[in-house]
Amino acid sequence: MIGFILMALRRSALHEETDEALMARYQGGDARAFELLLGRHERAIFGFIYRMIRDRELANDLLQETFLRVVKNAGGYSPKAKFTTWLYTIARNQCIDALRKASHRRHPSLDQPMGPDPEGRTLMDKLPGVSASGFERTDSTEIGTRVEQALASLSDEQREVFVMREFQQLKFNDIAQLVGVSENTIKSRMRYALENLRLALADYAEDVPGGASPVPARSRA
Amino acid sequence: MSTPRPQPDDKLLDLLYGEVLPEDAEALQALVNTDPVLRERLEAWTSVRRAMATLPEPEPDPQVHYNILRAARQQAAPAEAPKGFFAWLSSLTMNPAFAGLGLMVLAGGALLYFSRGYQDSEAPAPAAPTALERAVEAPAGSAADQAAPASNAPGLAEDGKLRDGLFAGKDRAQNAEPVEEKAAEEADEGEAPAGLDKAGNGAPARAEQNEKSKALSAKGTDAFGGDGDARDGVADTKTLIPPVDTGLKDTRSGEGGEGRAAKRKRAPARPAPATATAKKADKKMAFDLAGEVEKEPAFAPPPPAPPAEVAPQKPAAFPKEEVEESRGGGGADRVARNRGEPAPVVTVDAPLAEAAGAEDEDANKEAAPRRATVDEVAVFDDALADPAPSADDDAAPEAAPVPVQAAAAAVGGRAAWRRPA
Repeated sequence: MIGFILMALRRSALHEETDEALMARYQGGDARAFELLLGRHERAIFGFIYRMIRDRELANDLLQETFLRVVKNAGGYSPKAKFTTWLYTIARNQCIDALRKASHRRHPSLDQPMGPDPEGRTLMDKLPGVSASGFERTDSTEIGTRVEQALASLSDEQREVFVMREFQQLKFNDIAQLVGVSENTIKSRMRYALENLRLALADYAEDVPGGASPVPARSRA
Repeated sequence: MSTPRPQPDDKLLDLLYGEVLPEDAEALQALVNTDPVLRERLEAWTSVRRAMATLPEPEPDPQVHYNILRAARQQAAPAEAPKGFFAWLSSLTMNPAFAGLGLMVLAGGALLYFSRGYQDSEAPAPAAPTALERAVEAPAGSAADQAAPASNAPGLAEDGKLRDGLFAGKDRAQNAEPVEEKAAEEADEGEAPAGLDKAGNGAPARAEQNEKSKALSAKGTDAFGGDGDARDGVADTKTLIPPVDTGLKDTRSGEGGEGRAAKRKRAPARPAPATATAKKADKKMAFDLAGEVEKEPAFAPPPPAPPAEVAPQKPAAFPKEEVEESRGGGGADRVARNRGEPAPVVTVDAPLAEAAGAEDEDANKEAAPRRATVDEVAVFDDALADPAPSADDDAAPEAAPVPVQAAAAAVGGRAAWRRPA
């Protein structure tokens, strides 16, 4: 009975531990600490990879590979470094490698100019809206499809920053540290990403608020 | 050099995602309210965020979760694994080559054991005539007198005097005939010789027993101080019967005790019986003899020196006071307990030895090495039950600092995106 209570207390204490403390525990051989870490970050990392890769099977593979690298390199982790930064760095590198390998068979980007003019119309511009009556009248499936297409239309750099900030709730400072650029650069990429998404989703809104002109994904940031 | 002035859109991003400082929030909100361009932009970005909120969160495959956890536990297993001799031993046993080697060693050991056991079973046979001879040579004597020729025939060969010859052999301490102990025991049962005033048990460690007897013999006393526990005597008989037999043969051929010692040396000395009873006897004798015995282990195998050098290593004689003291050990009850048991000299009475080991609490204490093994396992189990360090220890093992970029390089990635061709 006492052992059970102590075990329950210990588990509750583990749940309150920070990521860094849990990682230190895993370095000491506590597999339950890693289980908690996995539970905390598994879905977020998968969401990041999936939105970067846009391939569910490949995202599962990369998710597994990411955490296996965490397991393998756990001995070299220093508690001084933020665990999420370290984890997203590994996941991001996995995405970069996968995108590089798939580059030769990659479909043309939706924001890729169709003509020789780099500022010309893109494939995204030719996609018809599913519902002509606006954003509010479309069902959730159509909305999701369109939003995902709009997200896919971003450049890798813009999408990376946007996904990290919008979906993973990483702060601009952390993103800058993770990507290895200044915070201003990160904010610039974020701003362009928001503008491009606004334009991509403009035909779904009854009233598209005015704003900055569309930002070509390749030419800026 | 001036720091780059923050763009209004950057401040707008901070406001959009709630990263603006509280003290700046009101001023920035006032600016947005007054500037229609900023307000429209903020609304547009807010609508984008609302659209993004409609996206479902993708769920990873549960199999991936299982695979990761399994790998993590396997990776953490070496840290939980026990360290030390037992872990090394268990790793050896898990190696098929070493397991095969161990089997071969076991098989060889078993073969050697049984082959020697067969020799032992044949060896005690000549000792039976010893009893007959005892009956023939001293039919009317006491039990001690009957037992004496069996153990001290060399002395008879030398001068024909029974008691003087009992302990005349130089290597008696090495031989440590249990027959002599049996004789002493029989002396307890029968008429006690005149010089034996007390039937002390003395806890017969064999070497010390013979040394005591030697001392008594030198002083001309009735040398039956070697009386001892029947269990010990029988247990020792199990291993020492062949030397007894050899001694008898030597006696008849006119060889002295040194000849027996030489034969003993030629024959591979069998290791001392590690029975708990024998160890207990060692302890008791060590207690009785006030540490002098501890200088020379009673069960130590004979040194590889020539027989002439072996004898001087033994103490020549104990002072009489010590011997008398040692004989007063109060083991008569044990002797009496064994009084009704048939104690043939030549039989290997394993049940007696086992019974002795089972009855004797001190003997059970001699199983300390096994208990230490169990303790090691208990410590190992405790380590498995709580392998995680305490909260204070978390900060203690600090690995080498690995910057983020170094970590990125460690996993083979790059620091920045590259647009695919």
